[in-house]
Amino acid sequence: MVNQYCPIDAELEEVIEETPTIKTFVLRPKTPVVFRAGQFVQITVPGLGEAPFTPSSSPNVTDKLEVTVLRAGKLTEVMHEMKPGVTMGVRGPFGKGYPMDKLYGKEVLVVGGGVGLAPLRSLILAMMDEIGKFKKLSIKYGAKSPAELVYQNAFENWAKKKGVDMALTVDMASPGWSGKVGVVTVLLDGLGVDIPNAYAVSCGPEIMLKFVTLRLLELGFKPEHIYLSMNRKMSCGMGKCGRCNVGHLYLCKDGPDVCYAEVQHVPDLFG
Amino acid sequence: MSRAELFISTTDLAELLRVLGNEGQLYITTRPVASEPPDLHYRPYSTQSTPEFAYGDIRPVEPLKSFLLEVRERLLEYPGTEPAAEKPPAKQIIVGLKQCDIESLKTYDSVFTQGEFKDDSYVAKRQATTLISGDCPKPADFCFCTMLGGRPYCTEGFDLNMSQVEGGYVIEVGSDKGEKIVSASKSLFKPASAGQLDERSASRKKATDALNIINKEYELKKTRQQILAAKEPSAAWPEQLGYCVEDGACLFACPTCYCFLLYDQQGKLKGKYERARSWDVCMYAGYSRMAGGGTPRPRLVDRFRHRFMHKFSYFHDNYKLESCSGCGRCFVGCGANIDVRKVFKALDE
Repeated sequence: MVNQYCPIDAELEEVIEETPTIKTFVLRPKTPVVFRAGQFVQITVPGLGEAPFTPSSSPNVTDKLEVTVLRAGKLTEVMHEMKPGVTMGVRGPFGKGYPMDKLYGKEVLVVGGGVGLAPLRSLILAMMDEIGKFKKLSIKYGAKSPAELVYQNAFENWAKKKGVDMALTVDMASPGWSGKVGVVTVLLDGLGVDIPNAYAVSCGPEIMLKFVTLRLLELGFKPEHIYLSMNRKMSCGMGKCGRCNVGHLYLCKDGPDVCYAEVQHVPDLFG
Repeated sequence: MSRAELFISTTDLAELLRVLGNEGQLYITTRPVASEPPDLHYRPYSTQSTPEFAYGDIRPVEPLKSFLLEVRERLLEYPGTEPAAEKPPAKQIIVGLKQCDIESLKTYDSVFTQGEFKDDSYVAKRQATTLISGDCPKPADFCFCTMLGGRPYCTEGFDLNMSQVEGGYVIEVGSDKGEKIVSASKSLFKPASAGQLDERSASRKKATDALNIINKEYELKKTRQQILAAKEPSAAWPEQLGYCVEDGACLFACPTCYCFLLYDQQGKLKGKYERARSWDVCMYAGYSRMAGGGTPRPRLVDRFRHRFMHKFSYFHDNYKLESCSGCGRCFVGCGANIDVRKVFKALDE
């Protein structure tokens, strides 16, 4: 009998500093943890506990997985001080992940805010491996400041890819920034997306998800075509401990990516 | 399928308890002398300690979940698993629980034994547990099982059920486990007489009628799901929250509340850690709080409403079952006298 709560040992291979507050941790689990884009894993910091993260790496890479982590609380503080070589733990994957089957043959609008681009990167990388199967991939990404944009080194390559359109914005510019200024919804004006044939997938702070959703609805997106990555406090991963529910759904088991049509009536949807 | 209906005398029941005490860890309901009002509590029964069994008018204070999902449970040690953690749970026999507790197992079984992920620890404990229930001859004014479709007596889910009659108890066998207990102590049982069965029926009817009178004033115009489906939160929510001090007594005492906190702590040996879980309360401010301090339900009234939404709406969506058995423990334990029936009545206005 395998204990469902037992983590798989994983060696921390590399720590990549993305921004002053965000790092990517490259982990090599003892046995591969094979996931679909959007599914999440529980990362164990030995002795301290677990926290849920959706891998930011491609689901097509199976021997390693990456999680991109904002320094935000007790556990992530400790993670940010960790050096390569230490043993951590991984449990999962959990959840349904992004609805890839629905996205094939469609235009896909990906809207990310801050560290919310992390789960979306997994989707973006998966899509790029078979970009011909999608009509178009539009990536709209915003962060607080230019220094807080994650994966900056990848942007040039992403934008060059055929079928990919990429736009960035920051809440507050700093010297040298010549791009857009404003919250991520400014990138939704003049979208150039065939809305009836498009799906939108968004991840970021819940307040951002709220305004992105409202704007998408205004633009004519159907609730059925909007997917939100609601990465809340998932814990057991199996729909039992009861801490991550959004309405009747358990984000850990039924999400963390949920269709807006299914949750639009939930009273505390956006906190 | 109906099984045998038997009779056991009060003296023979004492003998049966002695037999069961050797079968596994036996817990029976007792009435502590100093207890006022005369609440029932479970006590362990062993050769060293043979407390007196009390049949009781209503359910004991402790919810049945205490025996199946420990208040604090050590799940594993890591890195590396310890074989001792995997040993099967000890056999336990629980005597004296009532219908609202048997009913609460529907919630627990739905969550922990069904679907993609089964909870191995719960499944093993459930299998190792024998349930001997009893009727509720005199419901209290906080009992409302009948409003949830229940009755003041069990019709399913038990291994043996006891109904007190003159000189002893009518015993109904509800499962193979129950059948085995009876076959092993055949001499203690005899077939129940028509008179004893009539006495049981009369007692059950009396209790059901009493519950109907007690709960008449709480009858609702709409279903609880219809009431909770209202788009805008009712002004009744903050009113009903009243003087709630967020102590969580309602949910710790609740036999259907099952949510838990998963946490890690230092193990016994250096370099080893333990993963454990403990009961938790969704009305606590930190319950769904995330790193950075954000929480979907920052106000107590949001969490209060969530408690009702989860039990009566979301759970119903997922399992076609309301996660409440009408035992009234939440009201009895509540420092602010919050009564589920009154909350719904106010929302239904």
